[in-house]
Parts: sequence; structure tokens; C-alpha cells
Amino acid sequence: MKDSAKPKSPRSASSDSSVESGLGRRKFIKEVAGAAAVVPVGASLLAKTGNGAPKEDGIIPSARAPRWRLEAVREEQTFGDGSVLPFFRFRAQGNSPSNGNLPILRSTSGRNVSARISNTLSFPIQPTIVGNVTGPVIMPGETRRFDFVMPPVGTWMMTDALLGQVAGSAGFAAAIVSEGFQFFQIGRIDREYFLLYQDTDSRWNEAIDVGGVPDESIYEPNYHTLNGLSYPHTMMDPDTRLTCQLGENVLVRIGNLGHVRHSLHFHGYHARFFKRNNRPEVVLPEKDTFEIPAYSTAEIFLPINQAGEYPLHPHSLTSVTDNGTYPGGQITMIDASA
Amino acid sequence: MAGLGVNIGTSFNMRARMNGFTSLGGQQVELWYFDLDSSNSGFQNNRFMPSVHLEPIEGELITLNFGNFSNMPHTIHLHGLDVDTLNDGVDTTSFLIEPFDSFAYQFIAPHAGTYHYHCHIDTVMHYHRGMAGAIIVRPPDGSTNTAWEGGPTFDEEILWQTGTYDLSWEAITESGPGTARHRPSLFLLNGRVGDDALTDPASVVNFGVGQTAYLRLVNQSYQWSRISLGGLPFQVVASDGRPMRRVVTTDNWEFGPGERYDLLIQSNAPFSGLGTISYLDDYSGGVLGEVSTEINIT
Repeated sequence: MKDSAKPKSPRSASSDSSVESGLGRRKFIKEVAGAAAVVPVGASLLAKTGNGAPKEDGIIPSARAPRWRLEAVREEQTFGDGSVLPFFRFRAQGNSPSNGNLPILRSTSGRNVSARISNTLSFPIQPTIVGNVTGPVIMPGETRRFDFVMPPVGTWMMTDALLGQVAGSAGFAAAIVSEGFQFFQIGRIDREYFLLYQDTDSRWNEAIDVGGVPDESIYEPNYHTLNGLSYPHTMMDPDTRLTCQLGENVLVRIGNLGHVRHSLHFHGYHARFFKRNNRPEVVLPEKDTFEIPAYSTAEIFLPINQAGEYPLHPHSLTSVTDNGTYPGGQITMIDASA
Repeated sequence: MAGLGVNIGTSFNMRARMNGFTSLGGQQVELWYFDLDSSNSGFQNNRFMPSVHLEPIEGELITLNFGNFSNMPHTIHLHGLDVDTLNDGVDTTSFLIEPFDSFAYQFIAPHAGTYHYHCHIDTVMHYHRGMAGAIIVRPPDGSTNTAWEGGPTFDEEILWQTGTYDLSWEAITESGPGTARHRPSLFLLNGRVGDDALTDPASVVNFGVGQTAYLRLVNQSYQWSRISLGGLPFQVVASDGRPMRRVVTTDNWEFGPGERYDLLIQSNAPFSGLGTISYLDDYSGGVLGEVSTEINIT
């Protein structure tokens, strides 16, 4: 498969107070209206998310638009091999939801939403939704609102624009799930998960940590996280370990904010790409190993047709280590009960 | 058929061994591998890497009588065959096979197509050492010239297993900081490099004008691979053991670690050229190294 172009810099930047959408509302509505088969993604289709908790927001807009609170923080993470590495992350605050270390911003496509972001770091940040819209620059010690219109229906990621291609590796990530009307040809969905992959060259993060500039001419990642966690912590997080039942259909939303071009292997199951970068995939068959290029998203339809415990992991095998030590990194489990 | 069609059956006596060796790029390397107790070597019965290939039959109950003839624990993960947890070959969800112990893996062979297997213990190291091979599931009638029941037929069949080798890992037997970064120094096709790959009978593609060749690709490397056939167009007809929803006609294709693709090649005119696997760097997208073999359509 062809690798999609990996953005080296943010696609667009807005003025501090602007609210903009990569796909204008009118164009979006036109696109949706032109769909051959449009059905709502409603409560009967998306009944559960993550560990089965009800969704925060549904297809019917509530009176009050979601307002999320995030903090940009430095934190040290201890890996399974005992090593410790600094990361620079968005951290959900208050009632704002998260999976593992990953904030999840979920709402209805086209809706005006707002994320209030406090920057506790020693350097400025600028939130950006990959391939969509960029927010205001937030200086150290500042708190600003990132107002935006929820992008077209699908799976999106937020990171930092100022660090460019370093940002995802440094740790900056949030998941964005935009709900609404769409082509829908895969049938009933019983639950869904969001798995966000990032890889890190420790030399980059250590350079940032001392106020330096990473050497972007070389990148050889030696730490690999999934929803900001690494194995075995991935196994302990109910939103990162896929728990389901025989006969259910699971929608697995994938994001890759690292530089490793993943081929993601499902033990125990053949599944099917539903969308890649929010476009329907119509060429590939049911597969057990899926291409997830850097800075791309995918939606995978996983029918649970047998019970059991099955690993789900990238087949770039250094990605399932912590600085080389196996098992570690981006291993998680599909736990399907009969 | 380039050494294929010889390991068809429903029962295989497999062994894990750690006494292989070969010269790669002028350097002697130590290899760990799976073989059949009748073969005493890996792929094509004349090399230790890749491991031996298997050809079970769709719909049949397949038994792999596995004996661990080595001093480390091993498993067999049946990659893409969607077996049950007990037979999945993952030590944390089932068990491992201790040195000089044995186990009979059993499964119903799924849809005819191209699959993969490998040891799932300390995978980053055992896979690198050569404990990985291909599985070709034959259609229910055992045919060796039909891709799957009702699928395309062919006159010639070739299996290309890609591979990369980091010589700096040669002194390492257990994963750790030394295996954090895979910097390939050798670029393999069916375990051969350079001139050895160019004329390797297991890899060269020879068939007649007007005939059809079926090329099975298994990415057993640590990098993405791009295949090209000297400008010759081909059809991508299957992936991961399933027919493509839409056949793609192209002259190059990229595939990732653990992925499999099946290609149909035809030509109405004589052709002589090189088939090339280019190994790609994730970060830069550049080519890290290449390996080629001959294509002759006469």
C-alpha cells in the first residue's frame, strides 16, 4: 500500500480567537447529502465506548456544547523495563474524559466546541487537529480557549503545532471522535475503542527536557506507547485493553502520532478497514495485519467471532519493546468472553 | 514451482533448533529455525533462514507435532490463521514449549492463501534469528495451480519472503537495550543476499509468454518493503489469505512487516529484468537497501 504523505508541519494556523474548520460546514453538509446510503450513528449503533461506559454525547445535540479542560504538562513515565523518560502531554482535567494518558474529545460533527488549555510547560504550545484546524499559541503559564467546529464525522487527533513533527513523539496527543451522519455499511456496532500509537526517540525528549532542540536529522524510536501507556500498563487500562463478548461487533479507532509506519496485527481475527483517514476503504479485504501510516487515522471493524484472549500489536517488532526489552511497548489484548 | 508443492499435508512433524549457521554478506551468522524432522534444514531444504514452509489444506484439521530440540523455550504463533487461544502460540495466554518438550498444535486450515508463522517468545530476538516461515493454505482439493477455490489459476508459483538482518545483533541472544534499534545491514530475499539472491532458484521468476505466474509475498523483515518487477505490471489479487475486494493493477507495491500479498504476473511478450525488493526507512521514507532476483519470461 502507498504510504500517505506524512505532514512535516501543521497544515494551517489560525488567528488566536478564530474558529475554523478544514471542511466547511456547507461543504460537509453537501458531502453528506450526496451520500448514497446515509444512516444515523445513533444509540442503537454505538451503544458503548471504551470499557462500556455510556457515551458523553450522542447524535442529538444537547443544549450545552462540550467544554473540555486540558493541561499541557511535563511528566516522567516509568516503563516496564524500569527506565524513566520525560514526556510532554495534554492531560485531561476535571470531568474531561481520557483513555489511559489520552484525553478523548467526543462530540457531534459541525458543533461548536471548546477546549480550555493551560500551559504549565516552560515553552509555548499551539494545539492543532491534524489535517483540520490549528488553535491559538499558548505561552508558558497561560490558559487559553481553543474554540473549533467539530470536524467531519470520523477519527481525528490533536497534537502541538509548534514542535511540528517532534510533537507526537514528545507525547502531545488527544483523540477526537466526531460523530454524526455518515456512510454506514458495516452494520451494528456494539462497542468501540480508541487506540493511539506514539513512538519516541529518547534523545529527542531528553533534548526538549533541557531546553534544547532535538536533532531531527535522525530518528530511531526506542520507546513505544499506546494511549500514552506501555505494556503491561496497557493491559491494566480498561480503555486500552479491548474487552468484549462473542458475537459483538467492535469499532476500533486507530491513530498514529508517531513516525513508525505501523503494520498492526490482530491475533485471532480477521477484521476490515472501514475508513482510512476518514475515507471509506473499498479495495482491501478482511485482513489480520493493517497498515497505519504515521500521522494517519483508521477505523477498523472487528467482528468477535471467537472467544479467547488475543494480543493486538504492531509487527514492527522493536515497537513491542521498551528500549529493546520484550515484552513491552504497544502490546495490548483483545479479551473476548463467550 | 520453485520448490513449492512439496510440503502438502495435514500433519507435520516440526522441530525448533538453534544450531543453524550461514554466511551472510561474508559474515558467519548463527541462526535459529524451524524444520521438519525429515528435512534437517529450513526453507527449500537447503537453508536455515527462512524456516521451513508448510502447505496445509483448507478445511482440514491440521496437526503440527512440535518438538523443541533446543535449549530455550519456543512457541509457534500461526499468524493470520485465526486459531483458538490454546493454539495461538503466545506464552502469556497459553503456554510455552520448554527445551526438549513437545506439543501438538491443532487447527482447521482457513481460507486458501498465504500466511505466516513464527516463534512468539522474546519475539524481537527469535524472529530476527530466523524462527519465522510461510504457510500456504491450499484449496480443499489440494491443487497447486489454483489460488483458492474459484480463484485464479497459474502455471508457475513463487514465494518471496523478505528479510533484513542487523549484524550488530549477532552477539545478542536475549532482547534488551541492544535490540532497541534495528539498523539493517543485510537485505534478504528468501534468506539470500546480493548475487546469491540474483540467481537463487527459490526466488527467480521463470515462465512462458502467455502463461501466468503467482507470486506470494510475506514480509518477514523489520521494515516496510516495496516490490517492483522491472517495470512489469502485475495484479494484486489477495492479501492476508483473502481475495482483494478490488484487484489492483500496478507496477510496484508496498507491504509491511507481517503482511502478505499475492500477485498475478502475465506477459504477452518476452521479458528479461530484475525483480527488486526495496527496504524502506519509516522516518525518511528513503531506501535503506535492496535485493534483486532475475525475471525471465521466454
